[in-house]
Amino acid sequence: MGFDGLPLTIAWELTLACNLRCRHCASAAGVIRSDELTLQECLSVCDQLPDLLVRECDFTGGEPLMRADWPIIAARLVQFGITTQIITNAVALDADAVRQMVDVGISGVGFSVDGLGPTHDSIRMRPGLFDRIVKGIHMVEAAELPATVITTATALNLDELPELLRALHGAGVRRWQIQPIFPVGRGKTHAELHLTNEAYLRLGSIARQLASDGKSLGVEVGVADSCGYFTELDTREIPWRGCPAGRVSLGIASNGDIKGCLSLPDELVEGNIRERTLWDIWFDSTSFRYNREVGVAGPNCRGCEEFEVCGGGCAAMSHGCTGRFHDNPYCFKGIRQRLAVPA
Amino acid sequence: MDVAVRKVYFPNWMVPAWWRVAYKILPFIDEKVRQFVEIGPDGKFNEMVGGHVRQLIENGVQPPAAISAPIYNLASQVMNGHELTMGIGDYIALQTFARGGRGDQPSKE
Repeated sequence: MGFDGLPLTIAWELTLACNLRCRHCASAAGVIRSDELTLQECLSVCDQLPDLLVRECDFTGGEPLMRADWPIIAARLVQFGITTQIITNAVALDADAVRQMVDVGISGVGFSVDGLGPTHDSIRMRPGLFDRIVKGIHMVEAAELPATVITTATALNLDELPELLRALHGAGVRRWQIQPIFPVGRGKTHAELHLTNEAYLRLGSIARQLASDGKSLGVEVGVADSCGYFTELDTREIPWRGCPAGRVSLGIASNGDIKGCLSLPDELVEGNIRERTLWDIWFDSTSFRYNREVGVAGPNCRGCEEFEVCGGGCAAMSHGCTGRFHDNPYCFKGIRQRLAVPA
Repeated sequence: MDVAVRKVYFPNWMVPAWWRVAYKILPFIDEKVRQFVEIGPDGKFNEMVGGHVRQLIENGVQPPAAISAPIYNLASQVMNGHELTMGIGDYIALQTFARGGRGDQPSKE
């Protein structure tokens, strides 16, 4: 019997081209790949998704709006009933783009916000960008497109997250996702952004408080798969049960490479949709072994009674930090045990 | 229009048929993900599956071994007048068969 799962959610890097050069970018985005998929190839990918029962597709990048034909690709997905969302840095977001989103049936817009104005603009290396994001949020909300904010928690913004919640609430945001910085891509070289063990535990405490405060404000605050796990600091509604990459989700790179998650390194490409169908790549018995097979706990996870269910946390974070799977050092429970911090 | 076959109320396959795939095989799936995914299979898939179910019910023709279990499961639901719900494993088996091969074989090595 082969693997019995399907990729319900897909993150699709429409292009690696980006109009920013953010210090923490895990994709090290900026310059377009020389071999990005053509429109026809993208539409062929879209046509393969219904059979795989894909329910949601999130356009990311790079900056997806830099790909001029994104509305055509989005329209094809929407035609299949696939919830389609765009994550943008807002630089290229204008009234026309918002109108196109509405016209093609985009379900929501994600904005990357990495702190209050000065911090965000510093990390993103573009003065005035925070104000532009707030304007963008107002534009999409006015168009009745729900806005979600995604914040990468770093050493520079940790202490201003509570104030950022108030700012986002004031801007009309109703969903906020917080994720710790990945030490991959450009994020690897900017050590000043990295979280220490102590700072990571503090992130857990802050996120827990924000979830509570957000509820009273009507803002749903949650953490990404890369943030956790266990202990009272993990505020996710459903207990962590393992990394979804290659089990219920996958990533499509702009050149057609298929990975369990776009944050995983290129040596973990499982195939390319120019060479094989997505179905064949997904059900190849050699694909996504790091999450589909029982792994061996690395030093950070060894002896943990949660390992059988957890599998060692987020595969991309584990691999980015240690070069190994099943060995995520960014774990509330693991850090507490290593630092002998009482719960 | 539906037709009665041997006292079994047989839905007129699948003209507007919407299948429900029971997606409950992975324990970590977020509960926000609907337990049942509604899909509208394309005509070719529909025709293949419906044809085997109809042949089994109406003429007793055995389906190919690779899809025997899923076809029997569907036929049983039809004969009992139940809404068609397909287990995810059955769905994958049928799709793989429809694609003309076993999708769980390694092909990149």
